[in-house]
Amino acid sequence: MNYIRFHIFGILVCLATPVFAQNPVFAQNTRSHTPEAVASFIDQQMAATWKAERITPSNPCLDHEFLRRACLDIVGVIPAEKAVSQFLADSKPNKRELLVDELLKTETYSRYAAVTWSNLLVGRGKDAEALLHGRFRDWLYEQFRTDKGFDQIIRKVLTATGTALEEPAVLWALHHDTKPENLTGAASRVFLGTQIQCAQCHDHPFEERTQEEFYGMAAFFARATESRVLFVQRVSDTNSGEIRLGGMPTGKIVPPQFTDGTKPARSRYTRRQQLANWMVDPRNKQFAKAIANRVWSRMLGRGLVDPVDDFRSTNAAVYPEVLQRLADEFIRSGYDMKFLVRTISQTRAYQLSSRPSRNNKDDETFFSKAAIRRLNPEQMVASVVMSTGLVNDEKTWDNPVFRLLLQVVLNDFIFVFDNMDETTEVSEFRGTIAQALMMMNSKHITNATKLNLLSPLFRKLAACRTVNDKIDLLFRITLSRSPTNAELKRYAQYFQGAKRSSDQLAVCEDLYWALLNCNEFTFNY
Amino acid sequence: MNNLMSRRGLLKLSLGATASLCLPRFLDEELQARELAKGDRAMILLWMNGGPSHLDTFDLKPNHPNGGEFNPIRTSVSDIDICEHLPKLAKQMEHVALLRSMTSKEGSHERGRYLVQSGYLPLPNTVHPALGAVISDELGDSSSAIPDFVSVTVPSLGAGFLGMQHAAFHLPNPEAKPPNASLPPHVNDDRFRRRLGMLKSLEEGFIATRKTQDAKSHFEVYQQGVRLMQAKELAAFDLEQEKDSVRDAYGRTPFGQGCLLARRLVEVGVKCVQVSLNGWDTHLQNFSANRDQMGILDPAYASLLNDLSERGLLDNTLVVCMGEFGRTPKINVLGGRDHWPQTWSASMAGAGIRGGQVVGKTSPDGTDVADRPISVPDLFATCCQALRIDAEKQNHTAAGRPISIVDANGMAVKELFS
Repeated sequence: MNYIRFHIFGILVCLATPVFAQNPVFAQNTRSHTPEAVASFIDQQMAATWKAERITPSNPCLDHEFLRRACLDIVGVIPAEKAVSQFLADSKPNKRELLVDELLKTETYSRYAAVTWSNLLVGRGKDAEALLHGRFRDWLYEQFRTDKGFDQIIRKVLTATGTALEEPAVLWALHHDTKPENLTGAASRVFLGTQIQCAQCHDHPFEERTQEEFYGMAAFFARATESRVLFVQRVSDTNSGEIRLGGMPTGKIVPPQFTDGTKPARSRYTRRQQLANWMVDPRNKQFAKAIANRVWSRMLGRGLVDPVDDFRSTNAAVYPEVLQRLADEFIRSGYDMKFLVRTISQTRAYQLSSRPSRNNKDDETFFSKAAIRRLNPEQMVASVVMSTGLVNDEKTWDNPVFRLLLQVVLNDFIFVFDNMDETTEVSEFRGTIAQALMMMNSKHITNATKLNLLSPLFRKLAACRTVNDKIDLLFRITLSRSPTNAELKRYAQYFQGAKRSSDQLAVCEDLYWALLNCNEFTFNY
Repeated sequence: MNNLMSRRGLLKLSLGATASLCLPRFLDEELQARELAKGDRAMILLWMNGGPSHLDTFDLKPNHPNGGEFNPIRTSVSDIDICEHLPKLAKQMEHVALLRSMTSKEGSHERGRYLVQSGYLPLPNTVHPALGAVISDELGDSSSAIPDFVSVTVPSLGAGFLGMQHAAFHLPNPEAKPPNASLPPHVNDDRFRRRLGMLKSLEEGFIATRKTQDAKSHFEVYQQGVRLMQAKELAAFDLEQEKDSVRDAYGRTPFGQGCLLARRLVEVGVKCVQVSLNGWDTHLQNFSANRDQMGILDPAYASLLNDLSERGLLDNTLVVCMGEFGRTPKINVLGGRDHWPQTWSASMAGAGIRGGQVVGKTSPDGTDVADRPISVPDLFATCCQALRIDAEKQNHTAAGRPISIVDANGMAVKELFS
């Protein structure tokens, strides 16, 4: 599949650029644009900095750690128990690379990519609105599943017209009330990584951002309008409508102007199309940088520019060459999201352990150890479900009834996990008391950990011959690793007083509960 | 925060952990209920969700066609009239100050709610905290067993950039115990102790190898959760402990019982309780809907004020009643009133607010502010003064942007304190 895709891409390149195709230099260039080559460039850059900063990077992460991390980042769920033993037994030297390739081929990848981008673009949605969000997610899923370039996806989001019935992508505009100021803030934050909306009210004192810049961009949205019949909303572009400086009726009309200072040429395109054309034009490196930086941040816990939506001259990237290269290669790949994931997953930084080395405990800048990140509600719910053994194949995740039921559980979790803010990705590591109570005592966790004849885990535990096997199983389904000897010994003690099988079962339930509640399960580390 | 990173801090944490996670009867010595200490300020926000009609509640226009069906009644303060459907509240008017000249510009529910609960206009990238979250940050006690900010019935606005620890602990139903605060039936104390013992060793294993604040904080929150499960203050959530006559007085509605709960929570040291009443979005049949709404509001609000003042709590507890905007003075063809942010009313009592007065007024037709416009930031500055919070103090967003507790334009309404 991957080979075929690469092949098709190759054919397209050949058709488009026959001269280059025969050029040996070009062939070599192609090799230098593979994920391996780009990752190796990134590794060199980082190694040089670590050396200069006298930081000893952490050791490479262990295989089970990589497996868990890659699964959570790419498909949004911990690995199935079977996958753990398979991966650990695999002796191929490039098994990490192969794993990422396998994960990227799954429907679960597309589904999870759709969820994360949808949450960022339009939030999770509440009540009746949530149905539209479901449609938006399904639309995004289809885009990722069919390997649409990310530039095409965002072009559609920026320009979509019609009703939400015909065109799910209009939800982005609707979500921002189709107001030029809101759309400008959202577009610049997500697609350009800049906080331009601060200039809505005043010129930024230290940066070169001005009110004119904000309203120049807002002018591209000035002709987008929203109309509504009963419950059906429609987004369309009209031929008139201007934006005035400061949003005041007395302000002067601001003509459309891109944030790089250029102005659109006269054309037949609508203003939103003009903005989209400029936005995803390969010459606009800022778009590729902002997106690459976001993907980096999702996989490494922090952006090369951090916060991810605050690119400005006084908040430079920590490794500017790395971000530049990632952006260039992302553009070159045809804005292929999988290319980014593949590349980043092959970097040494991504594959480091979160255990500190002798001197990098406090490094929060140079990516010399893996960050520790709290699972988001989607990852948490899917991972609890995975641990129960209820899901044996990918088809189950895709079953519409299963997804519906899962959504019900998810809503409960979102409610307690995430009532802060839907659209920012600010991680709040502290969690809340309500969240701890949810994990300790809620009916969902109680139902998951109460083992009865019908639960798959009950049967698996019954098949274990020794106490140690039981403990091992419980660790593997939750923490995706086997217990250490010390852990085996410690938890085996709890079984000693449990003579009856019902007592043994209760100890299993309690250990399972503790494993689901512990920090190691709660974090992607 | 930083002292947890030190060795001493770590030691303290692990000792605390031993105590809280291993004892079944948990930490009695630590659980000295935080009685409302003298001078400690708290707030109860009665949130009228949907935007209540000011002309039918606190700002009647009996001699104008916009006035509608209701008549004013006299109150305990000789020159103040309110709606005839608020008779119990009328008897408490000596505690209440009416702000009849509230004015804002946000006429959509969502934006209006954001504005009136946070004091700021919504911005694409900054999420402002609800006032309750600010109160939690400023007046709260992070080591207490119960949350500093509780919202009842409808969820409050979030804690924004102040962080999850200041978000409201939300209780959808005031008559039910806090969700998930008790053990599942099949888990007895012995099993829970065993679970916590296992959890503790798992947590410590991870903390030992990762040495990060995040891993430790996880543990800390679990300790808080366990503390809450066993907190004496948890009894405050049990309305069964009140006499039937008291419960009846507040009204046997979720809002009425929520107000009773608010009084009980403030008594045990909760710093802010928001109780919401849905149903004010009266686009049609405004008058019958308002009659019903006031039937719920009147006994609850009046009993709350009466109770707080009898218990000496009103001196330190600020009670504010408002919604996201007012409603159109002109009655529409469906007998309803639509959204109207230009003029609306709020009422305040307690915490040094001089009751029995009216500030500001609207024009005879109710459409404009005729005297002393009060903005939302003005109202927030007033709340801060009453709560003894420095309105000018700046907090920082994750991106490092400074934001003052109240928008710099806000000026406290001085008349309320004189």
